[in-house]
Amino acid sequence: MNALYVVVVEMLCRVLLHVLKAVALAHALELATTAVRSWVWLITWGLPAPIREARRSEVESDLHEHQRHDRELGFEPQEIAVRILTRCVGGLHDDLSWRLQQQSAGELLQVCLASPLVQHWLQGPRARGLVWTCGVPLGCLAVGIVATLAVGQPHASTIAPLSVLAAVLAFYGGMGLMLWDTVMWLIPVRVVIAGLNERRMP
Amino acid sequence: MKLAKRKIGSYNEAMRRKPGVLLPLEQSILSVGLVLHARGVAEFHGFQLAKLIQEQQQARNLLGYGTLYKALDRLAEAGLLERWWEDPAQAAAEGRPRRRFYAVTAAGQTALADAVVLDERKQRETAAGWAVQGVGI
Repeated sequence: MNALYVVVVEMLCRVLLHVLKAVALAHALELATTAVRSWVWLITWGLPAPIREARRSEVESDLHEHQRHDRELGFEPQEIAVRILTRCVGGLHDDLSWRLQQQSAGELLQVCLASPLVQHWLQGPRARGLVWTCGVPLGCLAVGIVATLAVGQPHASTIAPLSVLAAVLAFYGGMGLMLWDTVMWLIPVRVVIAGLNERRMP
Repeated sequence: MKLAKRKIGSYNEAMRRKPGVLLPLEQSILSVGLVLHARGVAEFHGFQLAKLIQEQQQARNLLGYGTLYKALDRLAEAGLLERWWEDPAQAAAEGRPRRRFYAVTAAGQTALADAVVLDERKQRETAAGWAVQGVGI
């Protein structure tokens, strides 16, 4: 039974890989230009509108001219995609240094924190989840280590597993909180909960 | 002698280049711009410039977007290049995004000439230094 399961999973994975490869080859140019646009969007995000729009428009025009030029030279779309991506990757470090020239790291952090998306996220369950997932488990482990060192050998075998258990519970609890909004709606449990809530309504 | 990290790192204030000094890429941009001007092309756009620099340097790849536009930005802010946007109506009529055109200013021409003179002087000094030390080239 196990062997059959492995074969089926392997077959599905192979089919999925072939499909992804075909899609990537067929849409290589679109994927490459989208990747460049996304990068430029990201690197100019939060900058004053004139600077942001100037850089985006300039790269948009460059992308257009580059594609037209390479098509005239007879390059295949996949080759053009590679050339475009090479240019993007070749300028990444300059993009980053340009961005830091426009705005210091502190200002960038302020812009990030003030953005509506981040504010929404910070006020939602995911921020609490992140604290539970990263902060609390580390805290539990730290307390466990300190306590183990403090009490010495006799009680160490009790404290150490308890702190690890607390860290693991906090981690999974945090993950649950973080993923509640994004993944849980896919799970029928949520449907059951909604059904129960409806039944409770008078 | 122990060297402090901030004295040898390239990302501190002390190691930033002096104002007025042109990097090789900036010199290439200005010289290509002037070559185009001599050929009767008064203005150029980013991709055109990247292509010409690739041909001039016989490089395998075109300049990266970040590298090219950061250098153009720096030159324009220093007043060595003049830049303006194309008329959107014209771009729309040709069915493409509008271009941003650049042209080398008089200050750009002077800066390039100064940079070339400085480079030649440095080369002469280096060669003279080697000759004094008895290193044959």
